Amino acid sequence: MVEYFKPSSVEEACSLLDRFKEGALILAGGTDVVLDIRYNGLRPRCLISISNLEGLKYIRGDENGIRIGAATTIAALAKHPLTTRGCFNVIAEAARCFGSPQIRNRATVGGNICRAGCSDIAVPLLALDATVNLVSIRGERTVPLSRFFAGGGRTVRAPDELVKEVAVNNPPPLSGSAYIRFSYRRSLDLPIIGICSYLALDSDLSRVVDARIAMNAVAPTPIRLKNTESSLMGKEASDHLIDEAAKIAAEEIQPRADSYRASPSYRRALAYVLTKQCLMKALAAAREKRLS
Amino acid sequence: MGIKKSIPPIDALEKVTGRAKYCFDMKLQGMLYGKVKRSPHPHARITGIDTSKAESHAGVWCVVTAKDYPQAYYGLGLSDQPLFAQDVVRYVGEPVAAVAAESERAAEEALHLIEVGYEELPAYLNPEEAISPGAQPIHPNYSRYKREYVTSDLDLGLPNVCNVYQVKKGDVERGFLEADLVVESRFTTAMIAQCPLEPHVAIADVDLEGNITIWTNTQTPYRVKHQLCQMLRIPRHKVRIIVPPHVGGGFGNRVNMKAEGIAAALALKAKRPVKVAFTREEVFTSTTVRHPYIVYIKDGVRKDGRIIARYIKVILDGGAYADVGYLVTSAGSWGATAAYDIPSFHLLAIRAYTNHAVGGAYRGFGASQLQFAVESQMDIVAEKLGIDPVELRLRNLLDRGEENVEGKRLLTTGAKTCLLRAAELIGWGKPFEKVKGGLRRGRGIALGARQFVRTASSAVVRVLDDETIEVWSSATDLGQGARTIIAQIAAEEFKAPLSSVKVRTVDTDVTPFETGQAGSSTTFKVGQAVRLACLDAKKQLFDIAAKRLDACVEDLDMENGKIFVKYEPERSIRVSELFTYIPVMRAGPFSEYGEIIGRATFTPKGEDYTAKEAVSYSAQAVEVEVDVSTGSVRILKLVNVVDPGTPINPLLVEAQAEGGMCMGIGAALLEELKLDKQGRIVNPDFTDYKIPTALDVPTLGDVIVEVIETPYEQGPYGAKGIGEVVTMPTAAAIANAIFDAVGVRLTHIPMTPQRIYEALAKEGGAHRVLKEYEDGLGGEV
Amino acid sequence: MNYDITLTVNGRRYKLGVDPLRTLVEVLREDLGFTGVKVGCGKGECGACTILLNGKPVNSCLILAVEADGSSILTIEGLSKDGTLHPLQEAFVKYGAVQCGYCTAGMILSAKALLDENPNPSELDIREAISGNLCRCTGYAKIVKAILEAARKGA
Repeated sequence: MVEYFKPSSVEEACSLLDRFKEGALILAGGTDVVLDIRYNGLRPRCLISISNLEGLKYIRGDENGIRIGAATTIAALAKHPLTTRGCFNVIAEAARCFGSPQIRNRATVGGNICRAGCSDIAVPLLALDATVNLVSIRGERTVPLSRFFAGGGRTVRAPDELVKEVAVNNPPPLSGSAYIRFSYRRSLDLPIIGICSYLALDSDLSRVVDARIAMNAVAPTPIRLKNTESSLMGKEASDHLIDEAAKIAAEEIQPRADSYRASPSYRRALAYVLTKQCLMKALAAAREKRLS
Repeated sequence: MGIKKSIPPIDALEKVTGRAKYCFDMKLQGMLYGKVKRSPHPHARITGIDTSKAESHAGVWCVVTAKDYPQAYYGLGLSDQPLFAQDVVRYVGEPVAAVAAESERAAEEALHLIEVGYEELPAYLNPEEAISPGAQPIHPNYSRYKREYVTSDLDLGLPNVCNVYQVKKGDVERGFLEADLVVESRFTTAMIAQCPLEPHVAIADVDLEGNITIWTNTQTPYRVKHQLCQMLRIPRHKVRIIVPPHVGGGFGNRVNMKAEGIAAALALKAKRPVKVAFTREEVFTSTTVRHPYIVYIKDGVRKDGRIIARYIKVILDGGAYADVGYLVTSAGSWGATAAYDIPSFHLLAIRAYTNHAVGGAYRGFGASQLQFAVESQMDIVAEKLGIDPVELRLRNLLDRGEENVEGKRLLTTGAKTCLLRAAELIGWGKPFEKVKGGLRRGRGIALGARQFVRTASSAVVRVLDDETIEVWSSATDLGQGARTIIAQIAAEEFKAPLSSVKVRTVDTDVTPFETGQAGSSTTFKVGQAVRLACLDAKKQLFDIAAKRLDACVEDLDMENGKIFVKYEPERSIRVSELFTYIPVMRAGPFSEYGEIIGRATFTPKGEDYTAKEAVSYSAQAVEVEVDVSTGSVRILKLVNVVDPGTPINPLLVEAQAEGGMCMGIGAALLEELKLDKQGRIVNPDFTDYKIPTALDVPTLGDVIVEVIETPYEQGPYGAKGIGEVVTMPTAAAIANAIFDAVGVRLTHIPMTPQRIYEALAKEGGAHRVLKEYEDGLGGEV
Repeated sequence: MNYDITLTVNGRRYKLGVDPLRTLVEVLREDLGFTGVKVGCGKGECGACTILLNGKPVNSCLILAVEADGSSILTIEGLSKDGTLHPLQEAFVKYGAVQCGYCTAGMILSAKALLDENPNPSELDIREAISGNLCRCTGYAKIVKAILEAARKGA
């Protein structure tokens, strides 16, 4: 009843998607959708398997930045030289805390961001201002990751589109990033809060010229904290500035009122404490660049 | 040969090669798959059940409901639990119907086709509410249920009381008046789950005469047999329970009937074998859980640290049915009576019915929760009196020869040794770095004390002509090493190599009566039974050998299959030589006795099944680090000094200690089953129900386990029990350490980061916490 | 509708036709008889069903069998060669790192994958490698000791 396809090229995958549209289920690592099939009665008309599509499994670097194929596993991200270097190291850090070793060997960057809700890998990618490249038989388009999520569990991906790759541009030299994930257990756990911060400084290493803060588990999808970012932009980087920004972050998030994992007030308390820590780390990382 | 040897479990090889067969892996020819339809409501009247669509679904062989078994009730002590909900459902997850079909998928699909009408009733999720005057009875027919044990005569005149237990000694009211200080506290524990890794499963097969055979991973085969027979009103010889040699953990979750009744009901109707395997979700929602406890403690203490009066009121949140929680009410009280000598003592335990998952047996049997309360209270009292917590305990410990609060004279020692050694190993009293930026460190100690259950156990030992020693015991090996201990004891008694001992599969048609693996009792009662059965078999061997060797039985001994005269060892005969073959038919072998079959039953002295005069100890000391900015706790060092009496297998005792501490850490910091307002467990899975992973426990270098030996002469070779006590004091030790670290007393477990953070914010004031943290943070990243 | 797949399990090739919605753990256990692959939760949350898929540890309950077509799979049954135990198996037995044994197969395979990649792991490396395998019995201590020993022996 359910058909299964294993396209050998991106083009083949796109024509299948064009044929089946909403009836198609794109199968990458499967760590989420197999559960939906087994336990939530999900019955698509067809499965389109991209887990072994070579054309989607890569981590490449060029003069602009890095490009990650949608079927790249989280495990690959955890230790690749390109994702463990400099500012991009937050991608590897997030990958290392993700799920469990077994899950990391299957879950993919494309599959995880398409899940939208609590996507862990979206957090550093958002802070690094990643873009998502979508393809279909109609052509290609690129969407900033910050505009990719459409609400709990949904993205702007059209039913006939395939996420092809996620790209991150090289940040300017005097910048730093940091990632903090807080969960009760040290493995096999969802985060109570995941935070990634990115700061770029001026040539004196004193003024913030760019700031991005991303979080998950504090809203229906991973988010950027725009108010918090604005409070940092153009200002003198200092402990006090960061402390104030962290307070704004605690107010800016919209944690679930009925969450049984953590109360809203605790999430806000964590948001304050950990955003502060995260920004301090990013700032230190940025300042270190002068020495290297 | 046998005892006090650290040998790996005898079935480890099968387990590491994947050859071990668990019930979950079993299949029978022609087998059908059973699935259970469960109540979505915490309390509702069933207005109707329509199974017609399900019955005609492709692949379905039969559907069973209460209509097929109208009076099928079961229980242990109180038979209040219907096989399928009769007219009322009392918790989310209660079985309402079951389907047997040719595939799991067909069975699952058929479940959706069973239509059940419900009329919701008010549900009680809070035990104090359920037992308050005016509450509606969850069991209106309570007084008509069959009872098998004498319960307390105490009638509190309150609704929804499942069982009551009381211990009284002296005069607590007078004690409070005479005390220098009265300290009152309230403690609570969350609902938690045992989480054995193999889900519950039963495969039932019925023959033409209605004899039922069930393969199951139970830990109490004879009790299941008893309950099944009672429930179906069939004679005991008609039920056979077989437990495959390898069971994936128990921890109390497999005590009493679970999937067996449903499998039997389906097999009886389908007339084909039926396998009912619970999903992990069903294991969480519809087996049993650890009772949430509310404990009020009031102590009257003297300035010198003596507790002269103690009043404890315990409310057990029992859930919808009694299960073995009926017994937890009384046996759980041992958590407060095992360790200390208190002149005036009053404990009142009330088990309330509520409309949620059923409270049953969980390692500790109710004593763990009570010891969290008692061992936390000891520290609270110590702090108020300005006495060191270890010293306070020493001043109140029950010594050997003294009577406990229930009038039983303590025959064992070990408490003081364990406590002092644990203190020494953690560096108690020595200075250590307590402040490190936003991190605070503290040390805490707690004494676990557990009496063990001493129920009857029988064993048979058969010696074969090839010198193999077969042991028939119904003791189930859940991973704790029961079969290994049995083999070691037999090897010891016969002075034979371990490899010559074979422990046979548990099969109630063959292996004799055993109450089951619970209450830290296996080494003690099974050990005794096996040892005595060995002696009986040896006597038979010696009787024959004496004639052949022309010696007296008293002068004989045996080793490695050879029986010899003690003062003239060359005068000997091998066991194999005692057997002959029937020459004509080349059949045999047999001895002059025929088969050498030794048998014994170990029975407790008197009617008291509890060895209240024998106590095992586990003193745990811990050093923790609290991150005051988030409430996270890290365990830096953990010490566990255990006293199992004589350790039959020190390696296995260590294994129990390590596993027990880990389980204790889970209960203390991570684990809780959460109910929503509709009485539904919202986290019946391993992501949101958090048992410790390998990263959540301290590293090897930070854990010390020591085994102290204080032989108990009534135990086999001096052994006591160890399975439960190793997990009982962990929560209090951690709570005491957190208090030492941040000056905040947590009275609820689990002590999650959120709860610790909120307690810090409340007690110290947010300003104190944040200021301290900021002072620590300044300049540090 | 069934799809033809080829699985190489423990060095042996198997050709089967499978429904695309069947998971790898079901096919390995029911169709091929490898009951050494255990089911603890069926949701990828406990690691009992861990196998090595092309050398990498994965939860076989989260993989559709069709996805494993052409793969090389190692289950616990394939670990000892010609009756000789793998050093990990020996160490687990020796140290008493096995209690109920239900997590053992998955645990050993996760450890093997670690040692294949990192023959000289630290204790923390080991704990991370087995952090996706839940054990309720042992508290992990003897398991970690056993893996350290197997590493020392050059597993």
